[in-house]
Amino acid sequence: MFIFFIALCVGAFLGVSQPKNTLTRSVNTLQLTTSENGLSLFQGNTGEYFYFSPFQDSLTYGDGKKTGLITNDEVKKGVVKTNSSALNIPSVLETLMNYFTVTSPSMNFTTDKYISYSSRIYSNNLTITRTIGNLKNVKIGQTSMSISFNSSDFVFDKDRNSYNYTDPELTAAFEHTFRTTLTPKTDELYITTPQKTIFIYSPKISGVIAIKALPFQRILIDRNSRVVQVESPVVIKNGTLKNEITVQIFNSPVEALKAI
Amino acid sequence: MIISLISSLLFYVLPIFLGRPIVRFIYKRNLTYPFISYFMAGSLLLYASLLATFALKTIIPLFADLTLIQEVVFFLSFILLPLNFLISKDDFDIQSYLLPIATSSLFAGIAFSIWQFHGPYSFNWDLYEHQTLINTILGGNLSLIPSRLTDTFGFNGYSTLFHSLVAASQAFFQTSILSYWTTISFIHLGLAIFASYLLTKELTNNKLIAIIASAVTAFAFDSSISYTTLFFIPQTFTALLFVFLITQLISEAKNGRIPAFLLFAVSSFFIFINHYIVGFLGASIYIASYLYIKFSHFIEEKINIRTAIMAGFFLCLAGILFSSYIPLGFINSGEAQDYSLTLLDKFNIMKQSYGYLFLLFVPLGIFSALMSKKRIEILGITILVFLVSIVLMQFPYTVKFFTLAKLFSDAFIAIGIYYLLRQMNKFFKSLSVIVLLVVLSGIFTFNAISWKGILAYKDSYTQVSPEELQASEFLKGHYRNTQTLIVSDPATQNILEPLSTINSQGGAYSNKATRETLDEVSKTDEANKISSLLYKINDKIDSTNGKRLFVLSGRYFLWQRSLKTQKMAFSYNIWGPTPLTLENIVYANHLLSDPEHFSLVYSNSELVILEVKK
Repeated sequence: MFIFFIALCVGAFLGVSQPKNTLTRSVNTLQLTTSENGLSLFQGNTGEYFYFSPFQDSLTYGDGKKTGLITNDEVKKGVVKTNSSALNIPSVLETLMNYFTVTSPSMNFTTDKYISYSSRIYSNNLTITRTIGNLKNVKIGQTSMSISFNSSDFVFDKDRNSYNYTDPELTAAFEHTFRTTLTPKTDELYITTPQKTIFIYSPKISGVIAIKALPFQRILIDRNSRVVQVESPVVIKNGTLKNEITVQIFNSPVEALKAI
Repeated sequence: MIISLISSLLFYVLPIFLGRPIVRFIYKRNLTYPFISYFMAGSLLLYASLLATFALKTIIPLFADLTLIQEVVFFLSFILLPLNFLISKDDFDIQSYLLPIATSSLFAGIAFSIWQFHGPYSFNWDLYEHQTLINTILGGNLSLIPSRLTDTFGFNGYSTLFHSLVAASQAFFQTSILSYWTTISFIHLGLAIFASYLLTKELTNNKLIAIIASAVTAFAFDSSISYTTLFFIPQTFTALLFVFLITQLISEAKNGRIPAFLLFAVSSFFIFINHYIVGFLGASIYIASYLYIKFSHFIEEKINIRTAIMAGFFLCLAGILFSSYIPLGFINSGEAQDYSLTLLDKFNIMKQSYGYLFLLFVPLGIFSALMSKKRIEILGITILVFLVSIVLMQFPYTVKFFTLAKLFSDAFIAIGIYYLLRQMNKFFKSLSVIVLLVVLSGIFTFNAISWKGILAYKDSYTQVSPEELQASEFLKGHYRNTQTLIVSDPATQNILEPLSTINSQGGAYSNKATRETLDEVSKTDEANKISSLLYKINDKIDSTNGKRLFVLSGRYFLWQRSLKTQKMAFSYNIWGPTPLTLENIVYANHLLSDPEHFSLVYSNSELVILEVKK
């Protein structure tokens, strides 16, 4: 009878609707959540998202060939599996622990490789750790982690160099509101910058995302794909490659520029 | 926090001690659960006195300056409270209340902590509209009909009884409004769990089943439309009183008595005026139960109860199946359409609240109770089946009636669970209860995550931000008692009006004309045109030629970006705080560039308040 009762209790629990926003945690004025693309930062229902995703991250092989972590072919063949929708014991525990802020959102993808994006949140700091497993016998020269931005976003550095086209009226408003002047650096589609911090500010949300590179990392702005990439040298241990990207969320450009 | 607690407790305690001498004077013998009768008698006396005094106030100029509430409460307290010491003590077995009080406190504490986790204030969106009406009463106005006091209420679904009682409890202490509502929500949850315990105990005479029912009530929250346990609003308060009344009736019947007709009539009247629709159904069931118990021997002689139950069951089934064929298009339009749910919608609501607990254990509970053939349990089944059938019928708003059925459902889930537990030894029984509690709290946490997800804001979940509270304080300090009208999107108005006490057109329920005007505002950039459009908006009950304050909040801009159909719907709001963006600031600066029509009075990261000039 005990076993029967436990089975009924488990059955009762299986009826519960899996929340759509299972894994969401706040990082200052933004929220971090999981999606089919990976992890993303967003704000309320403004519809603006900033992704950390294997569909935009890349690996550069020893022969100089650069490929996405997940290729279009793999998507077309339907070999990409994620951990997003299953209602099983690990996902239930993860959801509950995330609600009580014991854990932070994470997302796994499986192709011929195992790719995971996990997060750590402390105050307004967010660190995304990407782990790629099953990489034996592969020579990789460089790898990049990235965060996406949107077409109308301001992408700038602490010297007020602006790396994305923005609406002139909004740019004037930005300069007037935040008492600063931006210098356009938009001649090239792919810009490598010596700066160690890049800011993304969307006119459609409040808050600024500061992407911070470590001394051994390099920042690239890819206007074509609308991503800020942080490139790191590769160290593969036991077939596993681990990288991190650190971002900080500020309330306004003024606060962000002051803090860096 | 302490003041909020005292103020919230006053809501219950004051009417109880005002009503006790009256009930004891009219009704000499001891009642079971007498507090419910004391509360209703005291509340009605207080409400009637307030209405009468207000009538006097409008007739006699001498009384015109009375603030009403404080004077009436002082007067009644002066007369009635000392009488409490003169009348004999209640035949009150405190021992029998210890276990239910401990159980309710424990489960309420755990459930409320899970629900409010990282949530500083109650998530009850309706509290703001109710507080608007309460503010009007605190300001010295009163009417039986809410829509005569504030245009926030377009539909008079209840009298102002509930609001008068809340006003009486808020009149004596300077308490934070949000803290008050959070505290009273917790007390309401505790009382709902307490009621669940008592009802189940009366139905089954079994403490373990009563404890299980309490746990189900605490952790299975009906988070759509009915909101029985966690939201303190007229419909849930009515449901709670209804359950206490049925519990009292059952208890009296078990002792071979029934409450006197006067008490019975007063109780029925009370729950009816507290919520006309939910209260009417509750009062009808209460009256039917009363009559059944009073005339049970006669009824059982004349009618075969088993056949009657079967007939009733098939009638309910037919009601569920054929209700969708009744042509009710005329009531299913407008806002009602949003609350016209299909059986699948209702099934999903059940899953959200209970998982499959309801489906698996209610039938087992009913089966177990039918086997026992006890008259009282049969009465419980009849009430449950009848109410659930109404909920399942294809009419708008029927899910609201689940608030009456909730505690009966929980009782029969517990009976069903116990049907399996009783066949186990002590060790496995205890282990099963632990597993059950884990599963219940898991279901509840999932429910909370789904419900609160859209309210994530900075490090918390909330419907109102510190910046909005600061703006309310500013408005209160600078525009209180002036002829000023706030104009913004419904959600911003809903929050600012009660917290600042500055009037708006309709709060969250601004009328179609206001919504159309705001939609027109979004289509033009001309400051003078916007200014004249804003002066078109007016409160029909408390109209003003005074200032218009245009509140450009993050919510306002998001609302303006919504579809026209969404902007016209009462069921659509920007539920969570929304910071201003650069685009929003550009718009505000554009209006401010015309100082003839707009001037800045306040701004923070979430809203800009502009004074509009004609």
